[in-house]
Parts: sequence; C-alpha cells; structure tokens
Amino acid sequence: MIDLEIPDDARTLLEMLKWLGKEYLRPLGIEADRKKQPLPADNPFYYKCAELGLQARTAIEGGGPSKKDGTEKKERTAARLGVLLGEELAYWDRGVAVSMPGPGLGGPPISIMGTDEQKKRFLSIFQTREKPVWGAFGMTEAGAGSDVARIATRCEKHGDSWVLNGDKAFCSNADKASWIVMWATIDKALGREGHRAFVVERGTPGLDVSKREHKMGLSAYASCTVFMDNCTVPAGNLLGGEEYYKGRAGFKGAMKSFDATRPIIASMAVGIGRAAWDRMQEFVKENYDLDRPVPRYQKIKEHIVTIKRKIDIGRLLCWKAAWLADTDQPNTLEASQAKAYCPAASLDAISLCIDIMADAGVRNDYFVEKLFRDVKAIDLVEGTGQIQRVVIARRIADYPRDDA
Amino acid sequence: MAISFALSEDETMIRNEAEKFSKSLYDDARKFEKEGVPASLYGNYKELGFLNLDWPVELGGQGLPFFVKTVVLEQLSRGCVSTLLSMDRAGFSLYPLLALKHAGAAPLLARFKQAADGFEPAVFVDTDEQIKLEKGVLSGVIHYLPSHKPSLLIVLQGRRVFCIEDGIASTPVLPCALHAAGACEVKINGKPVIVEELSEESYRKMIASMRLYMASCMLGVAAASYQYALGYTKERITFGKKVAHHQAIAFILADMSIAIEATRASIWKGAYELSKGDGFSAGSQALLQAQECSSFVTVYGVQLLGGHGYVSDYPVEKWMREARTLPTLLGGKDAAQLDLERTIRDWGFA
Ligand SMILES: Cc1cc2nc3c(=O)[nH]c(=O)nc-3n(C[C@H](O)[C@H](O)[C@H](O)COP(=O)(O)OP(=O)(O)OC[C@H]3O[C@@H](n4cnc5c(N)ncnc54)[C@H](O)[C@@H]3O)c2cc1C
Repeated sequence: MIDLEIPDDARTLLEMLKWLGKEYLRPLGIEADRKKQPLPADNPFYYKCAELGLQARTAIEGGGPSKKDGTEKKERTAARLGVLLGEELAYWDRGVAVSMPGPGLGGPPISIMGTDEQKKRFLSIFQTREKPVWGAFGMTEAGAGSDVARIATRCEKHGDSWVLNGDKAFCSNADKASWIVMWATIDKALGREGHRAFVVERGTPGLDVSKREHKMGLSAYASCTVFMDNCTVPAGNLLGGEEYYKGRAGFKGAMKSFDATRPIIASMAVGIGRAAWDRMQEFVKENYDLDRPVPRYQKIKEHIVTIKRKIDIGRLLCWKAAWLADTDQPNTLEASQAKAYCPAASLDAISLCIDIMADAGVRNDYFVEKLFRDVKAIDLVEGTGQIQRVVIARRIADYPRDDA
Repeated sequence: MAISFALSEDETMIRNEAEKFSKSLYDDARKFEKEGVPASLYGNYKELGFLNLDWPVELGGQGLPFFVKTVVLEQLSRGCVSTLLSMDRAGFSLYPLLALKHAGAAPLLARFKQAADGFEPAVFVDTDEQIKLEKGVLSGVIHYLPSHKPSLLIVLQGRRVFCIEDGIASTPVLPCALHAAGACEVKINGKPVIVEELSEESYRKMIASMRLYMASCMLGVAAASYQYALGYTKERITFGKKVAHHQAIAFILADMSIAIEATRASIWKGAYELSKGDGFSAGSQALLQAQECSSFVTVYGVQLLGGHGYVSDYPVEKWMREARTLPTLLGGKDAAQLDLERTIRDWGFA
C-alpha cells in the first residue's frame, strides 16, 4: 500500500525552514518586491544560510543518479526531500528561496556531467560556513529559450583554454555567483551535439554580469543578462572533459538534470499556492461570517473547495515524480506532468483566492497579488508548460523530436 | 523515507489479475450491454476474489484494505464499468450496511455472504429528500437506478439510512449508458426494515468508501478512453503525419495523461486517508477530480477519433456516455461538493 507520511527527519528540516521562512524569507521577499530590488550579497540572511550549512544542501540540489556499485543499501531520499523542502521554501518566498546561496541550477549538471576533480573543485566551495557562495546556470539567450539547440554563444579552443563569445539572458543569481555553468556551441549547425558546458568563474576576463531584468515578480533575486566578450576559461573547466561529448551525451546531461529539478520547481508552485491559501483563509476568518446567508458566500465556499483540490493534487504529482527518481525508476514523464500541472493549477488557485478577497485581493499589502505575479514564472522556467507537453507527448506518443 | 507510491507484490498480483479479467470484459462489453451479464461471469468474478476483497473476514471476506479495491475497480472499469457494477452489486451495497448498528443489519449482511441468485441490493443517495417517511411508511420515486429489479433498497438521506425490501416496484427504463447493469425506475411505498441515523464517524467512512469507489470507476473509464484515443491517433495519418503528431492533438493527449495521473493520485490519497481513519475529505475531493477528469478525457476521446468516435464500431462513444452517467449516481458531484463545503470549518475556516 502506498504511504504518504512525511518522515521524521524531513519534518525536522521542515521545522527549521519554517523558522527561517518566518524570520527571513517572507519579510525579505516582501521588501524586495516593494523596492523591486534583489537582495544584496551581504544581506545577513545569506550569512545565516551559510552558518547553518544550507548552501551545501539547497532544495534545488536535486538528486544525482545513485551509485550502482551496491555500496548504497539505504533507499535514496534526495528527490523526495527536494520536493518537500522546495514547497516549504517557496511557501515563505520563492524569490528569496532562489536567491539563497548554493549551486542553484548549476548544481545538477556538475554532479551529473562533471569529472570527480570538477565536482570537488566546484562543489566543495559550498561546504564553508563562513560566507555565502552562489552558483548559476546560463543556457537561455535572447534568441533561444525553449529551443535550446539554437543557442549562439560560441566556444573555441585555443591551446589550453576555451574562448567564449555571446550573451546569456535571464541568468539567475549571476550577479552573486562564484561560477556559472555556461552553455555554448562549437558550431551552431551541429545543434545540440555542438553544445559544450563550461564552468565560468567569477572574475574571468571578458565576463560581464552587470545588467539586470525588471521582472513582474520574484524580485528578490537578480535575473541577469550576461555578456561574454572573448571570455577565456581554462580547458579544465569544460564539464566532463572532451570525452563526455561523444554523441548526444552533452544534451542528455542537461535533460537528465531536468528530471531531478522539474518536480522541485513544480513543488514550488504548490508552496506558493499554499501561501495564498493561508492568507486567504486568514482574510475570510477576519472579514466574512460564512454562516450568514449572503449569496456570494456560496460561491466563496465553492472556490475554497476547488483551491484545496488544485493544491493537494499538485503536491501528489510532485511526490510521485520524486519517489520515482529516488527509487531509480524512469520519471521523465511524471516530472513533466507535475511541472505542467502545478504552475497552472496554483495560478488558478491563487486567482480564486483573489476572487474570494475581491477588491482587497489585488492590494499589495494583502499579499496574494504578489503570489499571483510570482507563480507565473514557474510556468516559464525549466521548460515552459508547452515544452512539458512536448516532452510528455514524446513519451506517450513518440512525438517527433524535430518539432521541438 | 515514507513517501511511496509502490504497490506491494500481492497488490501487483491482484492488479494484474484484474487487468486480465478486464480484457475479457472489454471483448464482450457490447454483447453484455445488449443481452445482459451471463450468470457464469458472476461466478468467475467471485472465484477470482474480486467481490469480497475488502469485506471483513467475519463476513467471509479477505479483509484487504480498501485501497486494493480501488486498484481493482480502475482496472475492471477499463473493461466494462457497467458489467462491473452488475457483478459487484453486493460489493458496493455493503458499505452502507457495514455502517449500521441496527440489529436488523446482521440478517441482511448474512445474505451478502451468500450473495445468492435473485439477491439484488441497490443504493440510492437521496440528496433532495424526494423520498419521505410518514407514519412508518416510506414513499417516493427514484427516476433511475442501475439495477434490474432491486430486492433490497438502501436509501441514504444525509446520515439517515432506510433499508426497504417490500413495497419497491420497479419498471425498466432506458438510460444513457450502463445498460448491462440494468436500469429501472423505482416506486417506493412500504415499511422500511431499518431506519437508522448513522454516527458522524460511520457516515464519513461510508461516504468515503462509496465516493472512492465511484471515482475509481470514472478513472477506469477515462483511462480506457485515453489509451484507445492514444493508440488510434498514433496510427491514423492526416495531412502527411500521424494525428498524434499534430501538436494540437499531442497537447490534448498530454493533458489527458496528466488528468489521469492526477486523478489516480487523488484516489490513492483518499484510500490512504481512509485507512488512516478518515477519508471523507480526500474521498470527496477524489470524486470531484475523477468527474472532471473523466468528462474531459472521454469527450476528447470521441473527438480524437473524428466521425468514427461517434459510432458504436468503436468503444469511445460508450465511454463518453458512461462518464456522463456515473456522476449522476450517489447524489453526483454536487453532493460531494456540498459535503466539502460543509467541511470547510475543519480546514481552519471556523
Ligand atoms: C524568472 C526567470 C528566471 C530564469 N532563470 C533562468 C536561468 O537561471 N538560467 C537560464 O538559462 N534561463 C533562465 N530563464 C529562462 C527560461 O528558461 C526561458 O525563458 C524559457 O526557457 C522560455 O524561453 P523563451 O523565453 O525564449 O521563450 P520561447 O522559447 O521563445 O517561447 C515562446 C512561447 O512559445 C512556446 N513554445 C516554444 N517552443 C514551442 C514548441 N515546440 N511547441 C509549442 N510551444 C512552444 C513557449 O511555451 C512560449 O509560450 C529564466 C526565466 C525567467 C522568467
């Protein structure tokens, strides 16, 4: 029989996040939203995260593939823990959660594709408790988002280094990052097979991360445009080494990491939905007496039932995809199902919360409209809702690759 | 780590058995719809252990968790939900009887144990209180029951349960679907053998089981329609490509797959909560989810086959009719919706 009990060790972690959330994430997120400014790298909260050892283990970390050498007796739990923590963090503030120190979306490609030496060099820096450290992930360009095969950032080998030229868009936390996992191509005509991933370190000559987008929500972290002008990185920073890029392996590396991260991103939509639920509930208790025979109250009750269903079911889809990952079963389909369902379901749920709160629902100080703006991004990042459907269609109906 | 969606070895075995049996139901579904369910099939159904799967051991059941029943119901509904309802009449009607404390329940239950020929229990959820009890006599009309000729009728009015055996006159009617299960109008005019007000706890448990039961049937119908439409659109070519490879269709297929996955998760959660003590909310939620899913999926199931979807040479039109009919039983989704609205206080709104 299935089991939906959250285990004790996860509960302890969730309790800690709850404290952190109340104390830091929620107020900082609201402040960043009002100022439309990301939090600066020296914010005391980030030092707190480092001190607590959180950057070594952020929710975005996901689960890499398990060791197959038989040394691992205990069932892996990373993916399930990931969705539980992802939901809780996003409940308090998704923007601040993404801004937290740690390898971010750059973590999975390094742990999946990197050589042992690279894993050690680039991931061990997060072990420190002295100061916050960030990683970032640069795939999207102004001219290529969903269609990643079209990225135009070039990489050329010159002796012992690679020279990168091009611009990346929407690079989260690039302003604070110690390194960025940057995707470039040796030859655009090769499509995905021409792709190479590099770890580009902060301060590399030719790297400029100064431009920032002005977003509808999620203001707490910077989404940067990154310019690379003869940006020169040592050959040892090519992820996985040259051997890795025989055949389609390079792109598969990126895809494999999506299987781990998509359920977590989806769970963040669930967390945002739950935040709206709680605020709406507080508002209803303060302002409406649902026992009074007011015609609209009937509608409100109806909405409440719908909101709960959308959030509850979203959570289950995330859990299922994560459980599959932890138990080494294929989960590409389920990860995309969760990622396709949750952002839209939570947006609907939050929108109904606004309906319930009516005119108060759109007031910034009543919080729910912020969540409405925040949650929309989740249907865009890590593969849009449409791209998830393309992935699903490939799995269920052999939808052809050349269409997407 | 405790979060798991794994079926145990036994559960998998039972599911596979159900899948096999379901295929045979599918093959003869149109025949059963026309001619009714042959007596031998009831025998098979009982022998395979599907009838008494979750019945208490005292009643000669296997005492398995209700969860297993939901898994079986989904499978069998893929084959032919109307045949299933016919074979599992006693299975379904047991939930309200188990909730009763009345001394008269024991002899009725004894008959379930035998489930002999001619024993045809039926359940009606009377949300609008159209059936009245006056001076000890129960009277009213039920417009449609998926039954040939009920010999025991269980009427639920909120927490009130009426069981009546004499004074129920049925005449056949023609419903939109579920023909193999029978269909009649019932005129009630007689003394009930049992009138009881259930405790809140028994009521919640009974409702949870019945809604999860119905949700599993809807899920099975939806899953069947999805699988068929998927197979069909992967074969058929229009404008130089497979129908499934036109993106407008591919995305519908993807959304169908999501709806089904979501519904199964929701039902499983309901069964899990039921096993933990109270599946009322989650079970009612699952019913709403299953209704939304099955109406979406089965209507598109027809659409994806084009004109062929509309005719009885193909199965999808049957599933569309079934998905429209199932949610009218048990008070329909409105009853589940209203119950949940009354539950809102338990969710912290009080
Ligand atoms: C807040 C935020 C943070 C982000 N962080 C990062 C980051 O850290 N690193 C990074 O690399 N990127 C990041 N991104 C970029 C994000 O991944 C892209 O925006 C996303 O992949 C979509 O690409 P696009 O914007 O170019 O849209 P397009 O790909 O141009 O899509 C436009 C529309 O077409 C649809 N579409 C595209 N292809 C198909 C198809 N085959 N079939 C049907 N519909 C299709 C899309 O769904 C969309 O509706 C971030 C974006 C945001 C908003």
